[in-house]
Amino acid sequence: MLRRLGRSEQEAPRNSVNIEDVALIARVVAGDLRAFETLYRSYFPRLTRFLERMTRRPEMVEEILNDTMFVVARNAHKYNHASKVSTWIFAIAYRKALKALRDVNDPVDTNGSLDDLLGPDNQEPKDELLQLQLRRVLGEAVEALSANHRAVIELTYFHGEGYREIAEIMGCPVETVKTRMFHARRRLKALLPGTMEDLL
Amino acid sequence: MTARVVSLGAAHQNVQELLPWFVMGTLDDDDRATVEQHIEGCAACRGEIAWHQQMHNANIAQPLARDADRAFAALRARLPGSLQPRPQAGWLSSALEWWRMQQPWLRWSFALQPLAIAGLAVALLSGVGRSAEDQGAFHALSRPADAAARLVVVFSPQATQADMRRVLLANGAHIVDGPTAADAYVLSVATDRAEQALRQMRTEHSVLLIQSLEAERVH
Repeated sequence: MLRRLGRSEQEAPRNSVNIEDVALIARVVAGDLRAFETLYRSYFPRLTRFLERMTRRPEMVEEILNDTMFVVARNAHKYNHASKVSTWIFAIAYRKALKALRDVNDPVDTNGSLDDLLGPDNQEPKDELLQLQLRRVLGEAVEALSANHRAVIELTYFHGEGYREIAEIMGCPVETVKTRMFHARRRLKALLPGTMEDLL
Repeated sequence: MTARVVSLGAAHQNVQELLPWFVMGTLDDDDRATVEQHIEGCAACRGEIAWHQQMHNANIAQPLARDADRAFAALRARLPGSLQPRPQAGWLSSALEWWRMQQPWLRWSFALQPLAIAGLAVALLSGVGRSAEDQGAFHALSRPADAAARLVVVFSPQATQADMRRVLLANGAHIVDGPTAADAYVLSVATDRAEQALRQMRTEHSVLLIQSLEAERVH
């Protein structure tokens, strides 16, 4: 049922990617525009996904992404190799997203209500539609979480970051990451309709 | 007994918190061993593992399709100076790269080409093979050299069309340009008749002014 990858199995490709990223950063420091464009295009899908999920504001995503990559370009010489390039870039994106949300007075720690997100037709889904609706309802439940909880969910399940990397990205202790994930899980349980929770 | 229950509860809580990263395979070896040891005897945690697996598989919503080209173009103008295109350096480096790609014989021929051009230029400027008379003479590219001379003429206001026609026919001239803003016409006359035509037309009452445009060749 469950195939767990060994850490070494997962580390090899990640290390390879990080070595490539480090080389690109070095070329960016040397003023290589093409290297920067390669880095930009490599991170574009990942950052757009992360920012869309975290902010829930599609119209702001490209601006936050470009602000993030502008900082990467300007501060490439400050990358100190203490963490992976992806961790460094996602940390910048996370801070930019938090700032953008605060600028529009969107709370980053307050949970929303799933009822606000689900229309009346979605309250009692028919059995035959459960599987089809599962993904959408789950997505909507995640959207009802706070921005910080969404960020932990997104980085864990969809970007494959470990809790230590997430702590670096979010600039908080690892215990905070674990606690946020735990509370996000509890919150999802409370938000999801019973039938959906049973499916999970 | 109470301490053992608390300890077991803390261990269970610790493993529960690690499960998302256990499912994703991003735990280090120690954490993974802790989880594996615990879940053997904990049905609740095994149930949670299925939930986290489903979360990962659900992949929730796909991101919107976005245009990376357009987004990058928007950022490019804002990039720091060190990453802005430098045309001079780009041109020079492109030229050097192209030069390195050429065959050696081709590089020699390219190198000698400017020398050959310079030699030709020196020969032309020093007037080798040309008579003194030729030097400084103007030849319009649109007509053969020495084919005709150019005169400029201003007829008197009283001159009729018949007067103008008679003067032109008598001197073998025809109008090639004009009238100018000063009512002058440019005439073309065979070179061997130019001097005589000039003298003859100066005697005509209908001509106010006549002058050669090729003073050095037609006197």
